Amino acid sequence: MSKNKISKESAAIAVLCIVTSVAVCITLWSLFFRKPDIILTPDYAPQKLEQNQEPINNDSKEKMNVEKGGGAVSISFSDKVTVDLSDKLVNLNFANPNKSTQDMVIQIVIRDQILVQSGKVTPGNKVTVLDLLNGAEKKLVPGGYEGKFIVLYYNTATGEKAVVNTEIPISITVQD
Amino acid sequence: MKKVFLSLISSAIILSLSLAAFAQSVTNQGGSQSIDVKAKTVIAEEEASYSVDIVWDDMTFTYEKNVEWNPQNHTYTETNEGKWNKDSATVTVTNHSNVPVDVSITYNAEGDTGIRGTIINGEKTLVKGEVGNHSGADKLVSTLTISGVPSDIVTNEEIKIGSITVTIGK
Repeated sequence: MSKNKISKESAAIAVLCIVTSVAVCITLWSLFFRKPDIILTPDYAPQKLEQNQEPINNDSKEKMNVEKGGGAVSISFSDKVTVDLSDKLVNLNFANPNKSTQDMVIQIVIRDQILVQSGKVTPGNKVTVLDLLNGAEKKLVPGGYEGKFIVLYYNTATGEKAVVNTEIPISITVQD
Repeated sequence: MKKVFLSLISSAIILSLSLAAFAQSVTNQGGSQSIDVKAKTVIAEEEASYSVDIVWDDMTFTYEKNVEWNPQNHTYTETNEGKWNKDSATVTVTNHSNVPVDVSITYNAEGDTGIRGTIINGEKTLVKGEVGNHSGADKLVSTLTISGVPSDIVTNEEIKIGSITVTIGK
């Protein structure tokens, strides 16, 4: 009887040890070895226009001169951005004046994590608000961050991605 | 005696606390006094307003391989020698901001293509835009030069061999 009891206790302890080991392994894997979500930069312009884009007032009607096969962009921006976690929105100022020959996609990146990726911002338009990517709000807490704009350019006619892109360091304030 | 002395000291301290008040008496019965109200304008402190133009040349480079005619069998044989149709292209960054900007242009090669790309004159601090001088805005003209013999993965179908990043900072 006593031997039977000891045997049952030993089995229970063994099972608990196994379960604990598995739990610890999963925790270690998720903390140190799990690959972050990867957002792939599109090779061709998104089909969708950025829903938040709005026309630039009093914009020039002329295009910049550019060599055939080349490209020309004009960008106007503020280097300060605010994130509202409750609304999952980003407040910014970024414009693609009409004199540009390229559509733009704007990414906001913090430590190699893409938190925002706009739709297509066409020449003559600007954005003052963008949506956070799904789940991005879970990666942020209120406070200040150093991040960057990554601006990707796409031929307005063919949609092909340009070989030139732009990076701009920005200061990001995150609020509840 | 001590109490009297302390009372006198306290009174002196209280009386030394005074508030200045501007007052003008109206001496005539039924009279009035005019008080001036003033205002002024000043130029607000400048906020940084960033505006930059970026223009780039056609970034397609073609390597023309030499071929040898073989009269024995009337065929062409490719050699490993050849030349680029052009070996450079420029990127120009112009600063129309009201603050200086630091510009850095870098080339990022992709794939094992055997082709080397080098940026010449890739960094500069561009001064801020001058009032009334749009055409004279400060600019950086960088040149990408291409060299090397393409490997077999580069065929007569265009492939991407690299990208150029223009970094704009303050």
